Amino acid sequence: MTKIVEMDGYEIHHPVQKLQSKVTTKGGLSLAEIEKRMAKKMSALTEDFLSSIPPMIDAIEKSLGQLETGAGDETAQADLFRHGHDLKGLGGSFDYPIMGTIGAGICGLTHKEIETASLNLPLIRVHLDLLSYVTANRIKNDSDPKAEPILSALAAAKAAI
Amino acid sequence: MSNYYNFRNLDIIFVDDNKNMHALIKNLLLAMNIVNSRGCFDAESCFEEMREEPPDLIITDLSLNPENGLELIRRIRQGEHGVDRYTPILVLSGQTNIKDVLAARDAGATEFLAKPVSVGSLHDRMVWMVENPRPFIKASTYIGPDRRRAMRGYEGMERRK
Repeated sequence: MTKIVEMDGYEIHHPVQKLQSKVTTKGGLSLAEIEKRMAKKMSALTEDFLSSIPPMIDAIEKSLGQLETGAGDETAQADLFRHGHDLKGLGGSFDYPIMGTIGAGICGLTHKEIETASLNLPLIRVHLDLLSYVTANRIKNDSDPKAEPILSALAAAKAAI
Repeated sequence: MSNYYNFRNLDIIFVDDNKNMHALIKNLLLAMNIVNSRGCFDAESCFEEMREEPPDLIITDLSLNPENGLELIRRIRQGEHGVDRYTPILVLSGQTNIKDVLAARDAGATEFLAKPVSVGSLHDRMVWMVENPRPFIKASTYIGPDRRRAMRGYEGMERRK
């Protein structure tokens, strides 16, 4: 039963607190134990995640190709943004933060406030190439020695475009 | 944290339009001993699940397809389809700028957790929610948790605008 207190122009509701009524302090797990349990599962989950990246690369390639040939519109732009957004959230969650960074870059280049005609397609292409490279080489973050060439290439591309 | 919380009795609905994130969240919850969780890919299936069996907590992304996660939160707070408007809602999103966090708060979200997500960050936020229940405010233009009491990680954000 929710207790309702009338105030001047608004109400304060005190509902039954579901979380507090269901969560107890008996028989709980320590965070260390929870992390240990999760660590055992991450390897298989990460493999599933990595296997989903090539189809995503194909989908990005398709939308970007449409835009590069003048056949793309706001829908292609929105698709690119959505894939970038997914990568941004997933990369770090699956311990591949460099993919999250690439995803964030794609989001920044394709968000809806940018007009489709003004998209920086060459720089989006660079991000797609980077994604393909880090996927093929399983590069997790920018401290991986294999990441050095692509970080240099990205810096050079940004300076040149 | 001195208490080892037992989350086992919780029933959770999570909403995200990405299947990798579904697998990850499901396993994060399992690691915390939460065996009753249901994944939804969109707002409508979330409502169906809520009507079927009211959950103790909803975890939702903001970027859903086709409906925006903010709209889902507003609809729940309005009690649409007779669902429990007081259900705690944890936003789990990669949209982490201040504008998005404030929009989630103003739609009626209980807490906000940024992607990438880890078992530690999710556990931390759920402990916070258990230990810091908030009353609801119902006014002419808002219904949701009392916004005068800060969300976790939100403290002081408005001052930095």
